[in-house]
Amino acid sequence: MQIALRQVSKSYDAAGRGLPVLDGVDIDIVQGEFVVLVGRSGSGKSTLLNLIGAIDVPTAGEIFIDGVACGALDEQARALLRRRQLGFVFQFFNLIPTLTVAENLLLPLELNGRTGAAASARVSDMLAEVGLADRADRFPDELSGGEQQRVAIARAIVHEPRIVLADEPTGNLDLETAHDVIGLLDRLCRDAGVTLVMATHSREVIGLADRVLTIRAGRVIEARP
Amino acid sequence: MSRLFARAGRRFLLRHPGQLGLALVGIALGVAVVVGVDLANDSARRGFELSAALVTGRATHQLVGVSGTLPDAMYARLRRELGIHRAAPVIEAPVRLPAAPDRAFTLLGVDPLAEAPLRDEVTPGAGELDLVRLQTVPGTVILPQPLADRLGAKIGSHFELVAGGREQRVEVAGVIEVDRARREVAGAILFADIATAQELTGMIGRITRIDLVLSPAEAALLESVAPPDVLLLPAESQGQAIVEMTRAFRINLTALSFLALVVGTFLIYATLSFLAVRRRQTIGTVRALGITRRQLFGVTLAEALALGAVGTAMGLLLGHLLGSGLTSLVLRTIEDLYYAQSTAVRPGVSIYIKGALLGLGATLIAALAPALAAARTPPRALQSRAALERGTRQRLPTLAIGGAVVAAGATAILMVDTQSLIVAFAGLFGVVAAAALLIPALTPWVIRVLQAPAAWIGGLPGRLTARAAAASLSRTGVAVTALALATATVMGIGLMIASFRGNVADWLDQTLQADFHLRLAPGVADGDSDALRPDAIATLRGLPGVAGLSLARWSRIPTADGWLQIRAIEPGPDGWGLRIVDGDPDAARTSLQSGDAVVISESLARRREIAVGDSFVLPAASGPIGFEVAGVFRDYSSDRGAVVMRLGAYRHHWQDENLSRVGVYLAPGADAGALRRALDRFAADSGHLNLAARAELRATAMRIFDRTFTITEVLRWLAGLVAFFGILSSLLALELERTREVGVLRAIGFVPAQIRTLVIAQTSLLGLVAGLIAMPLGVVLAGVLVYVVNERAFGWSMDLAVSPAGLAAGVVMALGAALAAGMAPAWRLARMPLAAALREE
Repeated sequence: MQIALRQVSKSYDAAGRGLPVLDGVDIDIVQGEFVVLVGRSGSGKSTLLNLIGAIDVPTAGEIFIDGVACGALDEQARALLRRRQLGFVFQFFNLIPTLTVAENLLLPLELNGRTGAAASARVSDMLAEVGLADRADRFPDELSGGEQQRVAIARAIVHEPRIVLADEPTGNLDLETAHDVIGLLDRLCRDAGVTLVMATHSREVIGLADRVLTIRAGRVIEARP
Repeated sequence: MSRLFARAGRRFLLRHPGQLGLALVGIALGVAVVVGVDLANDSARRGFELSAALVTGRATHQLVGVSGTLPDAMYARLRRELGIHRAAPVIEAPVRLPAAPDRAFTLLGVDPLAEAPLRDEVTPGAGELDLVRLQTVPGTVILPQPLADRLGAKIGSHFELVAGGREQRVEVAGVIEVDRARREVAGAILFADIATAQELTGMIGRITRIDLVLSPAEAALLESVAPPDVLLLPAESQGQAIVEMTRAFRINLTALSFLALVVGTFLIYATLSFLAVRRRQTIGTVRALGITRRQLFGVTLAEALALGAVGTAMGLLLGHLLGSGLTSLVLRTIEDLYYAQSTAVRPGVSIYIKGALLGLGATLIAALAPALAAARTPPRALQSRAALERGTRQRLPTLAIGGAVVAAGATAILMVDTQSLIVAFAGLFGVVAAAALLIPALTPWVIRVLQAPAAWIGGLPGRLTARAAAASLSRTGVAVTALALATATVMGIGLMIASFRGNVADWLDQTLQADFHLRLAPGVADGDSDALRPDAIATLRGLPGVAGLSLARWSRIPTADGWLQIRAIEPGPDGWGLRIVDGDPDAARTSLQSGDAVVISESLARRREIAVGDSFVLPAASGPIGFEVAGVFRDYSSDRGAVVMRLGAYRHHWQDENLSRVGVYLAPGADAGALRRALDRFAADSGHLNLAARAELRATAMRIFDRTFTITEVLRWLAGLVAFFGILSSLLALELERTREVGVLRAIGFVPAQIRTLVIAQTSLLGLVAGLIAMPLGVVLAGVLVYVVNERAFGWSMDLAVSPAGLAAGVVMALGAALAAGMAPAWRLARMPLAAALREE
């Protein structure tokens, strides 16, 4: 199992009292799977993604990535895990505004020690894949929302991670652009055999997924699409 | 809605206590420095005025001798022959009390029976004073109550007093009550009968002056019959002389404190700008909900004023504490610079009111631009960060043009041909204002230059560092400007002090030519001692190893514009030791040698507008004598002015054979140690001489120099401290605003150490940019201080010395401040829960 959650709970501190968000969640996800998380706003979708992505730590339970227990990792090790194994796509794109499109893609590669001509070629290929080869030297604020999200997708995949986590990647886009973006993300991940876990409200996305997990009252209910 | 918005603003501040605290500290420190300096200045000034008023009393005129004293028979003649009855003889002499060694006292010898028209302290009607005992028993004094309390003395008790170079025992004949306003000042004065004062000071048959209350007709009569070696001077000019003399010094301090306030104001502006930027989304939202621009402007301004009020209150309290520390520094510096003793008095409440108004005014001025910016914020949907930055960039050319115009104006002001110090400071503040406008425009250029090396050193993160600084110009511009201004101020003052120090060192090397210097001990009047009489000089010349002597008589002569120092010199083997800065040096020395000409110090030439070739009239024993001014020499020993003439000429015109100091030159190859021992014996035998080698004298002079600049150094570092808190506030806000961006970097794999490095690199880059911009600005400020402010304030010129070390120190300071300020956000961002960072708006 590539991703395994065992009795994972998460609660937040609210006015001195624990506010439970996830309660004893068990999930198994295999390599290359496309899993969609659905649920009402505030149900814990983003929290679950953050836990899988080693961005946050559970209050109880354990998360295994490729058999490695994340709970045993310190922040340094978690950062290295994110750097090598994971890619993120956020609702608000979260590109670095002061780096060009190409440099935004180069950043994860450099972090993984990939520099020079090979890294530049990889960036060019990725930009061509997402249809933005001619935007390489532009800054994020010179792009449309859809273009920015395509750059974000390219950045999440450029360093060839094993897992991509996407938190409502279409939440800030119009329907047509959202359709293009989801199609692109699905294609790229499937072509590369990358596991994709996505939190979304979009019915269209649910139709593309291998599996849908619904979060309700802190528990996960599994359903086939 | 505006009330709710105001509430939202309050809560925003309360939720960001760090920023709130730093904003308050910025305001408080700015106000505290101004109030502290103002308190010290006012306290010293009022001390001088009250002292002068106490000593001068109701006198309209003073009769003084050109030699510094008058025969006491003149007083009797005045009353008897001229019928002037509102006159009182006075002996005013510095004395020391072994029981209170830390301060100087003044002995005021008066005739109680003549005092009534002049002063109230020692008159037959003043309380229950035993004036008969005071007048009939030798060695009796009257003490003001504060001094009696301090010495633990009461009527009939005795204590030691050093006057005329001798320690003597005196008896307390009375204690006088002093009103509260003059309590501190009166604590430094001892009263005695004139005959007792003559005995104590050794001025038998002589007095210091006669205080007079004259009608214009009486004044005219007295002037017409006064002997040539006696001058009738207006009393006010003499009493006010020290107040006037110290005015330049006090204006300097005030200006420096205002510089701290200007830096403080800029920091308030920076803080408020950051607050406005951080709340941009909230402001956009309430604009969308319908709040008007005017409401928004009003609320933002009111919020700033509330902040200003709290900061100002803190500043007043801090200023009060700072003031007491600065007062002693100011008094000590005045004592070093002007040889004038004074006592601090309780300052007026008006200073606190002024400080409060300044604090609130500065906050209001600083808040105007951010409040206008807030009011102009479009509704949320229209406002993007990119648009904000674009707007900032579009304003840069306008700012730069404004800066150039202000710089041209400041240059014009500085070039105005005037001696006004206020105009000089207006020019200096103009330079600061021009810099404040130009720096934001310069910042992206400097960053661009640093971008390539940053990328070369740090790779993509390095480029990210430089780009982030350039891209957030709406914030970094303000932070860099604040830090650059503060650094330039600290650097400019530092360069000025270093230049001054270097010039003083050179001047000392040129002036102190003799290998050993013998001077009359403090408190020994020139006429009191035989130590430097002709036979003693002959003995000195005959000592083994002596190549020659330089002889000097330093005396003070009264003029209508205050006392003037005459330095009459018979130069030694190495010449006059003067650096002539105006006039032909060789011709000036030749003329001096002839005895018909004098050279005058720069400060005297400037203050009295005397040029080379002019005739300078001095009151001599035989009446006024005009001397040709052969040159102007550089002199840092006193800004009151000095005249150098040949000793022979002085002796001839002033009929004064005394000497005050002798320089002893060591013969080539002679044993310096042996001569030193011989001179030590000579000084010890005389009992009235102090001996110092050239190096010792030089070291003492440099120590005094450093001491006089302690207050400037304190203000310099206070300005630096204000700046540090400001930059801390700015950088904290800047980095916290990047929380989400940093969160993304961490999400894609930056480890905490890399985040820390990145944040520190970003703040350091800003520090470096500020330091690089501050370098030329600091030199310009130092130039203005050296060539304009100092010349006008003190009258002396100096050469500006710009050392690489001085410049580097400024860059290091800016870098250090930015580095220190970046530590907290770096650690916080690296440790902040990542999920929270990504949620951050």
